[in-house]
Amino acid sequence: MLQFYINLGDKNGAPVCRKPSSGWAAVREDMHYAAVLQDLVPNDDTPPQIAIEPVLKDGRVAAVAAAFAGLSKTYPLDIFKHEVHELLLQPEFLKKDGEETPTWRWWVEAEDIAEPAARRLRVRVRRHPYPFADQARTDLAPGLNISHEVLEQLRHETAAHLHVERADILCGALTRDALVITSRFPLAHTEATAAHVAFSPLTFQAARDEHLRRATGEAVLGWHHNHPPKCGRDCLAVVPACDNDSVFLSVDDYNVFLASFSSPYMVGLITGKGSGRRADDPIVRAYGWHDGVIREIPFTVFGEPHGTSTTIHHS
Amino acid sequence: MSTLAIEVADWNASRRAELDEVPDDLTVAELIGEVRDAMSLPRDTPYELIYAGEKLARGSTLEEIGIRSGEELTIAPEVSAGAAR
Repeated sequence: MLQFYINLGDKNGAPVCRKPSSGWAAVREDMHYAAVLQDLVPNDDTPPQIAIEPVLKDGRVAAVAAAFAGLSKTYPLDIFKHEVHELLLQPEFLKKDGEETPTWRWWVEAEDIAEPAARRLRVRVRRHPYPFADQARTDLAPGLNISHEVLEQLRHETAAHLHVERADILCGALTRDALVITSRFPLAHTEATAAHVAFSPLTFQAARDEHLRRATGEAVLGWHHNHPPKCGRDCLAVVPACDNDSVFLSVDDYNVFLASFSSPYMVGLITGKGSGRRADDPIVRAYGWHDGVIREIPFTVFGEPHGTSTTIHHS
Repeated sequence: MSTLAIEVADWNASRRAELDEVPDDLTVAELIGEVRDAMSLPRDTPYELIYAGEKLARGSTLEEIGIRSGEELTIAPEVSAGAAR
């Protein structure tokens, strides 16, 4: 059984930490979704059998090669970066008072390890087919489309919550070349401060129940949350507005993607204060899966009052 | 001890684990471990099981909870988002 390991070393490369990686589940999702989009495999509940091999250079992993259904793709080490960031947030690797900022080097190794001892349970995993809408909307651009109404609701909520984070589920339609967000509802059972919003299992259960209760035929496509400015409501007293920008994908945000929004079509929106803008006139950035990692992605706003669409590449 | 046939779905039902011959003296923690590995869920994120709208105590057995064959549980994470880190 193939196992990848994340290694951390000091500035001279001497090893200080080695941790098994679980960072390539997203590679399998990416390969399977690509194969379905190209009609190489049916969009059914069969779990894909993706072949994964390390690409080695000087005994270390330089990339990861994946093959499935006639497709092959090589993934750079970016797919492990999130795990490295998570590791570097452990107290032993952070800068200590009175010390220089430490330099750490990281690399990836791969080993064939023995299969775990026979499991006690027999588990068969079925996946829900990707929820493609029956009819494509030809009036929309490829990629992520967000309704003007939803976007304005999110901006309004963000402007009204300059002291605390909050979150929503995003719903709409998935087609083979577009993701169309047409509604949202707030996540219940969360606990939040100005710098975090915590989701318990009951948060997700409530979201599932609410989605079923609404019965709109829309699919769950992702999530939204806000990043308030560090100075909270006091931010509005600063004139002209400062250059701080509170909208970024944090390590914790990435964890939420991995744990709860890991389907390859899913997206996350983050709203907050933009550089040079008032906090009550928030900006929106979109993030989604691309080649097995989460990246900022462009989006198009449709349904604007004057009947036009606006594409936002990087706000 | 008897055995159960149960299903565990993730919160948005994108994946479903079908388990048969589950001993009813299995603890919730053991079941979470099996399902998490089978579904390739992140190892570093804590997960819990939900049944009948309640989060299950990790040390309880399926028998103690009263889970019967044919029933479905939900697996969902305990996670935080935000600008803190």
